[in-house]
Amino acid sequence: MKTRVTNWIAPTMIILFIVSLVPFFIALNYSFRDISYTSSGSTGQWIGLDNYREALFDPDFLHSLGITFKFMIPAVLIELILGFLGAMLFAKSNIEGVKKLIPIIIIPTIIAPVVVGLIGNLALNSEYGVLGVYLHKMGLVKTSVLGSSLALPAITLLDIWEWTPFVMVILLAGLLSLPKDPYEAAAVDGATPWQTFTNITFPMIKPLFVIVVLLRSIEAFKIFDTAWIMTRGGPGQSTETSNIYAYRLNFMHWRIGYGAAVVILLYIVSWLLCVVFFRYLNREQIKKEREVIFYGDGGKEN
Amino acid sequence: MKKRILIVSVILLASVCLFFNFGFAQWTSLEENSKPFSGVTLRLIGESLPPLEGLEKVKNIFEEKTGIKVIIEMYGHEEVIEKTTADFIGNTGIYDVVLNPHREIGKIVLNKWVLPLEGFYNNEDLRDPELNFEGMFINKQWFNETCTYNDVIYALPFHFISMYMWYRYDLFEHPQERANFKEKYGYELPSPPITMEDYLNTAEFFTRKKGEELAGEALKEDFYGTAIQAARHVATWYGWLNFLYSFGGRELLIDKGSDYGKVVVNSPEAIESLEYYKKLLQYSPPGCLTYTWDETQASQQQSFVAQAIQWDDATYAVEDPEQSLVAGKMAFSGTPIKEVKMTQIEGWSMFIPRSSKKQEASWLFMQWCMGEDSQIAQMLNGGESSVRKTYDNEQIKNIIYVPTAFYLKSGELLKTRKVGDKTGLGVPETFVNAINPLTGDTTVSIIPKPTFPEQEWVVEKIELAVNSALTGEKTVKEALDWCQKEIEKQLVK
Repeated sequence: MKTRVTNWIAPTMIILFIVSLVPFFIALNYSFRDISYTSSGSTGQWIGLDNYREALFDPDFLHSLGITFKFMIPAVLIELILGFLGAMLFAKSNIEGVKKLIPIIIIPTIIAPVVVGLIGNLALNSEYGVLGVYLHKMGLVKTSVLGSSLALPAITLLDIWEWTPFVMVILLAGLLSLPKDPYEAAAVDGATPWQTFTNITFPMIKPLFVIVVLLRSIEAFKIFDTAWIMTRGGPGQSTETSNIYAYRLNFMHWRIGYGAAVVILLYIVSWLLCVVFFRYLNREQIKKEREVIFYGDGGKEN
Repeated sequence: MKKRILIVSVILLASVCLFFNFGFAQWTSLEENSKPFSGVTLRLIGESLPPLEGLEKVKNIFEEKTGIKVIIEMYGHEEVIEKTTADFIGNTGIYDVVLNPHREIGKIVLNKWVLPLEGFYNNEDLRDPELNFEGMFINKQWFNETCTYNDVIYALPFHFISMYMWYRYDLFEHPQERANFKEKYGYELPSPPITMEDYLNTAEFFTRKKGEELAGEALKEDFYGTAIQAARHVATWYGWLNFLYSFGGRELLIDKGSDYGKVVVNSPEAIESLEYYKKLLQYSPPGCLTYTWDETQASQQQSFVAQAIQWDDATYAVEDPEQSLVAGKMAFSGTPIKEVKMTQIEGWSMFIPRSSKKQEASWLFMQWCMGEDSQIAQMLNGGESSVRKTYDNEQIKNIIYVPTAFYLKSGELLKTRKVGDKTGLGVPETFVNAINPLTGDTTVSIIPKPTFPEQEWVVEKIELAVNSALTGEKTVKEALDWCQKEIEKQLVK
């Protein structure tokens, strides 16, 4: 039986190994080498940790990381708040047909990020954009939104527009699958809506919440397409996220060795994010299990 | 025995003939000499612009003559560089003919990704005698910069292009506008602006709000005196270079692209030129900080800009009545003069990748591209031929922007234009007669740009510095000082 299962899994593992791990190890190898196609002095030789050392003190790389977090934190936070409020609204709504709106609401999430970027570009254009023209005429923007310090907030808002429906749908699914019994018990006990929310709804949906935070944080950390289409990292370096920086290094400067080191460092940051979230999730899970064990049979520990 | 000696002698003689190409190595015609390659498919990649679309339209002539099929892939400027470099690095051999902007030549050559063309050029079996580099091109220096590296020929020119001024002669020569300008500035409205002072004054003069009058009509939308490229994009680098060079500045002190000269990107001339470029922002559309060439072109096509410095191989689009509101209202001149009457060297060149498995067929196609069929088709579609003979064609001579584009590169005059002429055809007489302060005569200085491998990030640093200065993130001096340090740091490495 075990052999049979292994046989079924093997092809997937081989494909995963080829498309995922092999490029990773190639990049890892490059990151220890002096490989650049735009430098006459580049030899391709092994230089140990030099690229990593350079990256950790590279003000442009550190700046790009700062920009990424400046984008990621407000975007994910607002998406969670709006998504959760939306999900609550839909879950509580008794109006006929309201739930049928979900496929429409989720449209921004389905659109390719490149298209989202183009929509943003068109909407914010100062000469003919639906929003840009009015913002300029009202004097709120002196030149153009994407050519000013408002570029990063604009990208953040667009990301919120794109991803809030996703957060909402996931949380809505969670809310709708919650058991009815605790609510009935709370109603019998005369709990207020706020008490019901803080003591029943939120604790029960928390694991899902954490997963959504994890998914959105990783996705937001990886932002590239939308920002690239809208600003290419400009004006100046004000929207140059770490992925845009890595892209420039690898595919515009062709400094493959150093670029690979930057990519590996970005991978490590993403991995750390995952570790933190999973640890939290595991801790919650263990706590929950302990509670079941503790109180499940009259409060006697097994 | 005698028979054996005879056979051996014949074989030996045939071998010697084959080795030295005696007797066999003769070009008869494209049809004949391409027979061994019939049935081959070539894949070409280049920038999606009218000249390449022109080639796409006539490639069937080559296909019919040779039986060689040609597939042309067209992408945006930077996408072409990215795709081809990735192809070279991966040694995939996907492309058989690669078009790249000439500034890439150092990177391409020193990484040994492309073949020198000498072998093909000297092979009489593959070379059409019509192809003769001596005297063939409109400018030898231009050819050397765009197609050779360290004196070795690696490419054939797809075209020679440069940036020049597109201006609305219908506005510049409107009697009311001329009277108003004279009243305000105390001198005749220059059509076109010849000096940088003229350019700034006219940019200011033509910048008007919706409802104000322009050439006798109330404006339905805001109108702008100019449009500059200011996005964080390679277009901004190209755009600013016109001003940098005209002000007498350079990014590096070089005589040819492959030189590693002293970095002088924060010289007083460079600072002055960027200050000037920044001043033009106030007379440009508000969205200018996100403008590349495409948006500048669109703003002219939509008739809300009076003048701009733009590419000559994109002029076709602004003169096409189907896509432009200002077709027939445009005339063309050189970049305004400050310290140098100049034009910047640029061109896309055709390379044969080492990884291609159809190199001879690629050469035959490139060679055919230099011929009349292809060159004229490209010109009629908006191209900028590098071949001198093309400009003897009457139809070509009468393309509205051709005299100016040709004059700037070759110094030859096909036709001049006077203020008041009914069309935009011809090089403005005032520009032709303008003195080049650098040389003291009326010649146009041809300025080369860096082509060594590191130029890629030299361009990137300048692009970022200019954009940072224009957006106000840094002052002009701070931006250029930073740029100087960054380039020096990298080049010393």
